[in-house]
Amino acid sequence: MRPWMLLLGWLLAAPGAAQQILIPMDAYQTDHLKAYGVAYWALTQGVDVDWLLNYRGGAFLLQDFPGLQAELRIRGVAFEVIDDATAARILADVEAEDRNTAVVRLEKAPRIAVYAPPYTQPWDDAVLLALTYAEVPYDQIYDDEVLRGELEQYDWLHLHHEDFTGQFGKFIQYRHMPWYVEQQRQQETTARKYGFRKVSQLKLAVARAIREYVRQGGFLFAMCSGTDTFDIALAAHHTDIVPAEYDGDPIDPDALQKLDYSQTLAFTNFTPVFNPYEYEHSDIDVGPPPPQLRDPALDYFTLHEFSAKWDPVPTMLTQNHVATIKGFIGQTTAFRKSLIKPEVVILAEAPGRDAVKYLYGPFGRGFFAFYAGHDPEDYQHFVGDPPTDLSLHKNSPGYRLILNNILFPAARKQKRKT
Amino acid sequence: MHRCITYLSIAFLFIWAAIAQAQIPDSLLMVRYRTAEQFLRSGQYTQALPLLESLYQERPDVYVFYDRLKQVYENLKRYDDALRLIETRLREDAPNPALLAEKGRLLYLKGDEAAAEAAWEAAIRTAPHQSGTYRVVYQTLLELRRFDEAIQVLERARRTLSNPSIFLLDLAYLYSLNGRYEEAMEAYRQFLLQDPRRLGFVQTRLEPFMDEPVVRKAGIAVFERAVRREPLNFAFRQMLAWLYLRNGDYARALNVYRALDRLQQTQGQLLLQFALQARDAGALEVARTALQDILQQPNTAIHPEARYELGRLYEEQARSGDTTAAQAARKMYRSFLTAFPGHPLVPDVLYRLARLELDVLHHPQTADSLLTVLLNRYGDHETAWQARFDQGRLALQTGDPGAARLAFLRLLDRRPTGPLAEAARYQLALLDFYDGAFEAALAQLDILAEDAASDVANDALTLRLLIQENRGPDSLDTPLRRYAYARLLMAQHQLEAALDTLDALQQDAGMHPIADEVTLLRARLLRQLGRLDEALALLLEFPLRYPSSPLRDQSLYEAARIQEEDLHDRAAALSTYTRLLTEFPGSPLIPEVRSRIRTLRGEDA
Repeated sequence: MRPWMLLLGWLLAAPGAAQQILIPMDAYQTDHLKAYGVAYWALTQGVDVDWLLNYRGGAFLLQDFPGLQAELRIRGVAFEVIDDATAARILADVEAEDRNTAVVRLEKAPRIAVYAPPYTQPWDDAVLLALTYAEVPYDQIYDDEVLRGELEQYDWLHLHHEDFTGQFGKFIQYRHMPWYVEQQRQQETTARKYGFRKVSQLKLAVARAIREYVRQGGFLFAMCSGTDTFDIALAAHHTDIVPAEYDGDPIDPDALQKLDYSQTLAFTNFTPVFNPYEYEHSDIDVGPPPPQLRDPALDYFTLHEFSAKWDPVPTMLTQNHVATIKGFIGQTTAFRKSLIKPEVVILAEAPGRDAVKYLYGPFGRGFFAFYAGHDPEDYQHFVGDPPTDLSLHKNSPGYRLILNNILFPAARKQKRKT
Repeated sequence: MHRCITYLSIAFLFIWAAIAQAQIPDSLLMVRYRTAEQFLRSGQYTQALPLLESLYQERPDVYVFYDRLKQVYENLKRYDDALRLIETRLREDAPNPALLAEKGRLLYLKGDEAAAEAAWEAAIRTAPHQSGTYRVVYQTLLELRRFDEAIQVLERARRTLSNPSIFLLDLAYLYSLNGRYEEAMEAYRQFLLQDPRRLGFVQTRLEPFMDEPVVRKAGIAVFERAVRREPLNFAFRQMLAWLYLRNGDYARALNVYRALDRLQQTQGQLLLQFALQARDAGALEVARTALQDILQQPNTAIHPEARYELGRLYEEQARSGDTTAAQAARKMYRSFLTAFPGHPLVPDVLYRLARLELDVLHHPQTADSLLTVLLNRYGDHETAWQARFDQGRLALQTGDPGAARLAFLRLLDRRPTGPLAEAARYQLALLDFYDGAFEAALAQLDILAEDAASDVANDALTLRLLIQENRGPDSLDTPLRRYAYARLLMAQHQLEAALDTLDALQQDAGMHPIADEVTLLRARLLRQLGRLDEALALLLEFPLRYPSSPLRDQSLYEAARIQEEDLHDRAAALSTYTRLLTEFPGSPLIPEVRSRIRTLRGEDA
């Protein structure tokens, strides 16, 4: 679409509007995370939001309406009141062919589901933390809802440090702790309820349902061990890769030969870790940086740049006010590049290392994005650590990458790279 | 004879040959077995299998060959082969519960749950009157995480063996693993009934589960019933009290402690411990009731401690503006001093009473005499240092700044470092400020501001800024002097006089930079005097009167607080907070303002 047509359409869409609100997402923004919440809130009020990709850090532009400015102030989000002419000029600039910027219109607040057990606290999970802080509403669902087919009610599904292999996170050293006992008991009960003898079978059924949800057009965002264990479980659908310490019977001696990588979303040719005491699921995870780089001051990753006009999806997912983001460790810290399927797009990686931090890919009619690491603002999160206070990290670039995802399903269909 | 010798020789040769034949293969067997073990250790079950199969074929009587072969079959998921080994052994030996239980386990892993249950049943029937039988079956079921069946086995054991004390802890553990907390608690109750001395052990076992409300609720239900049934059982009551405390239910815990105190005749000791625990947890009312209970006991040795702690509780309430509590604290401390003049807590009580008289009841003379007694009698006691500091504050309040200065200087001289010395130095700076000796005040404040981590650093910086920004226009700094005088009057609780001084200054100050400070202080004084409408009007018009004052956001914030807290006008408070948010987006008060707005809107702050 030519810029003048967009401009005309935009002016026609807002007849008689007095002023526009520009929410900058560059260094002038006081609270980047809450800004996403305001954009989401505006969508729930029936107001379209223009996401200006690569313009001022991925700014938002929307029509002013009663209560918007008060809400922005209360949430502490910096904004600029501009007139229609200025807004039109900005839009024209952003749509100019010679610039790597683009406008994406967000039209509908996506319905968000977070796959997490009922006993999960918001601070157990970076996405829950981000959504809660940004005041974005979500439903918490778990195995029951997935197996009952309720996924189709949602546009966006998030997985965090779930272990889809049925090894309870490989937290065997905590097996006597009440939370572990309870988690194992509840998962075993659910497995029996659905006629599965083992939790690994239950989790495989859930993973398959989620895979189908994506294939049908859903959007999946996973973090930490929710990424690699998802693919490992799918690949192991014909075999048993769970040691006896977790499910009572030994692994299949031919497990490696029986892995079926055609079922996975992002990874291929990986090897599961069969040692029950090793806190690692497979060689997909490259693990923490080498000791000489295992320092929050030295560990970082960089975002790739994409064509905003021709590759709007990866551009949306990588909107940020910085190009270099500090690293963070998780049960799955970063993905081994050589094990990523060729059709998957790498969004961010650690320079000079075989460590991909963030990737995305299409699957069927849907998309998935995998983001490695546990908490972008807690370099090395341990069990029992206090929750991250996001009011101290209002401008977190790492958390922005999470929140980019929630708005992505709100975007009107875009042109795709041919 | 020769024939006999020949037969004997032949027989000997046979035996020797047999022994030799047996020994040589044994060593060879061991070599093969060690190789198989190495394969097992490295998880190479397929390589270990032929070795172990041949070993077992040659010496099926050697248990370790049988066991390792079974293990390999299991690891290769060849459950039928493993079961065949067990069947062979079962045919050769007498029925064995362990073997049958193992057979059941393998059948279960194979997926044949009905046959597995039959094998476990057969195992129990081999020796139904031996506890070991049940133990071996229950442990197999536990290994398979079949908790319900494991519980059934143990319950059956208790019925069959007619021994209600057997397997109690195992059952409690199984129940808790299975989320059947009430039954777990019931098992612990029965265990305590048999051995009340193991209360600590039971509490240790339950401790990790105490974060779960459902566990605490189940425990309380069980032990409440237990106490009703057996009111004289100490262990049950102690357990119930512990559960109440872990549940944060101090009022109910108090009732249990009362009973325990009576039953165990601890003469208030238990109640005192409980009261301190409740106080530390913020359950002040319950703590007070517990302490009053102790004081009603006629012959207890801990009356002084109870009275002292009760005084402290009242004092804490008094400091938040409760005048009745202030009188009660005074009464408690005074009665302590009268009843226990030689008690080690006397210096502390004297000091606390003096502080109460000075800061809460505003009786400086009484405070002075108490501090004097404290210093005369207990000059070396730690509280005496604090008393010396308070003597300075008291002198200031009673209008004797000279004596105050002397007290602070003496304190600094004898104790030149530490938080008390810094507080004394700040008081000296304030005295210089009240006195109009601004250069001297600034010199003291510079020293204090160097240590940004000290308690008084912020106050020192604020005062320094006030002085630096509001001097002039004449060489005597007259407006600032008058303002300082008003502050002195406030320190001496002469609020009306302070207000008069500020009113006069306000009229004279004109465009002097101190005018905004004067107005803000006037508004605060009016609020303290209960003249809320005047205070509010002053604060709301403040930003218009002083459009360049850095205190405009502060004035709106204080106005909104009056509307919210004193006038309970939610809508007006919301409007003022929103005005602050709109007009002063860069104010450091913004986070607090946002929090107040959200609270008023009924959202999570």
